[in-house]
Amino acid sequence: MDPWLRRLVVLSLIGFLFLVAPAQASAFEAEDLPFGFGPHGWQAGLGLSQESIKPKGLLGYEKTGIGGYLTQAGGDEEALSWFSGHKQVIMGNIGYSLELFGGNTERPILSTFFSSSDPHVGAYGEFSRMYGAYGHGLAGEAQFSVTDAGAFEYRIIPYVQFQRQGVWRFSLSLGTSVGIGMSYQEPHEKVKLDITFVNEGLSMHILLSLSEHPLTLGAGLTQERAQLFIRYSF
Amino acid sequence: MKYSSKLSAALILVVFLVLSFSVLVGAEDLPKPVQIKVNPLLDSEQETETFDEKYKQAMSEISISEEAAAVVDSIKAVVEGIEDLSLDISITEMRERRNEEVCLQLKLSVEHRLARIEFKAPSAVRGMIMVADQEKMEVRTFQPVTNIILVRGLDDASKEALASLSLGQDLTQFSSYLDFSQYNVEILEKSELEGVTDFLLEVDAPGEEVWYVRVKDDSWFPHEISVYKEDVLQGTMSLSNVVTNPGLSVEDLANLPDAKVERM
Repeated sequence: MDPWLRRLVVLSLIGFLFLVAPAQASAFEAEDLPFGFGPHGWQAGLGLSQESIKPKGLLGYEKTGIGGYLTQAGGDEEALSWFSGHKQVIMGNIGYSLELFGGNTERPILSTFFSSSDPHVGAYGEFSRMYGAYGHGLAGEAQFSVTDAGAFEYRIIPYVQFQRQGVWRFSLSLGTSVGIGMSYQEPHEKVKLDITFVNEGLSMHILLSLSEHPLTLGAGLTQERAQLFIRYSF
Repeated sequence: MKYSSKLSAALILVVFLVLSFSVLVGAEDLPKPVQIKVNPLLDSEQETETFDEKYKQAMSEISISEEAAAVVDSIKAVVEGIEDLSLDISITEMRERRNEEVCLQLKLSVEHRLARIEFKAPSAVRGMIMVADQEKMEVRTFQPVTNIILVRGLDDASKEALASLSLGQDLTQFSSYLDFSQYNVEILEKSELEGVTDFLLEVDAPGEEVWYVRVKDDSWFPHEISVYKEDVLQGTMSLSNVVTNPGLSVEDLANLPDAKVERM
């Protein structure tokens, strides 16, 4: 695929995501400035998100939203961007979600961690079923690279989940990469932790939201790289 | 969708919450006149019967009606005397292929203007907790699947429940849900066991529905209500572990799991 065509595909996807956004998304409800240090050196950028929530029956609700960010490294590196549109439907103890995304960074783990990758488009879907304090689910992710190589990656992620002083999730990753994972989310989502062990090794990410300040701190560590970021929301 | 049938069953119990709550909050309203169904005593054919036969028949009708009125008044007196309440509810909805059962615990307080539902079954709603706050006019729902507490207006939630049941959106018609004095009532059955009398009442409810209500004279609180429409059983609601005036605190009623709060 020609480079100009690849860019056109990515831009078209981004445009589509904005077009399908709800009408009330004329003003974004959450904006933030990510500032971080990682494999590409110092990076700064802008993140935007918009989400609407409406009831679905008496015991359910539906969330629809878009979000994304654009960052630029200090050097001559290409700008990194990632945009997505998502819909989540919850009916009692059953939940479905679908997310369409595109960009040239990997799908963010715990909000925002800059990891460059080939320009790509993809989809993420999830089905959750709880039985009170415990439950299970199945997630799937497919990603098409819009480079000449045109690589295709996919993952199927079955998981179990339970609640005890927060939400604990233990998962398997099957597909292009194989591994196991564990994540924890504090009840008020102030602290999030994600640990995975896949083909290439161990990776850990942690996110800490400061309730007194509009700041979020994050750190990520893989075998090859470490990164830190601070995000100011306004 | 498999869940939708369970949802509709769950909605019935939420209506019960709203109704019961409205009953208690409106307990100071003036009682409505008792309307007891009394069959016509005389018709053209009966005129040929002897006076004694007519008299016995009339007295028989009147004695049943008086007893029904006494039962209805006893239930009403108990309901109106409730300041707060805790009970377990099991609702069985009759479906075409299978029955759906929803079990929950209901707590409510007139003083605090709070009502709380904890779903026990089926698994599609187990663990969900709803707290209705009439003071703030909002409903807080704990959603285990996303571990969040969703806040929405009480009006919206009530309308959802009522619309789902096709019962209209006029809450006033439910303001005396357990006050059967506004309907035609007959005693169909009366049995006694260990000194406790169990009555089976037939209540001509609105919407061409007929309710069969079982109540014992040791508590005068209904313990089973079956709903029929056009002679077809629609569902049964069983009430158990009824504790009247247990002294519920705001904490007992409004406490929810520690989770993120999102407003709708």
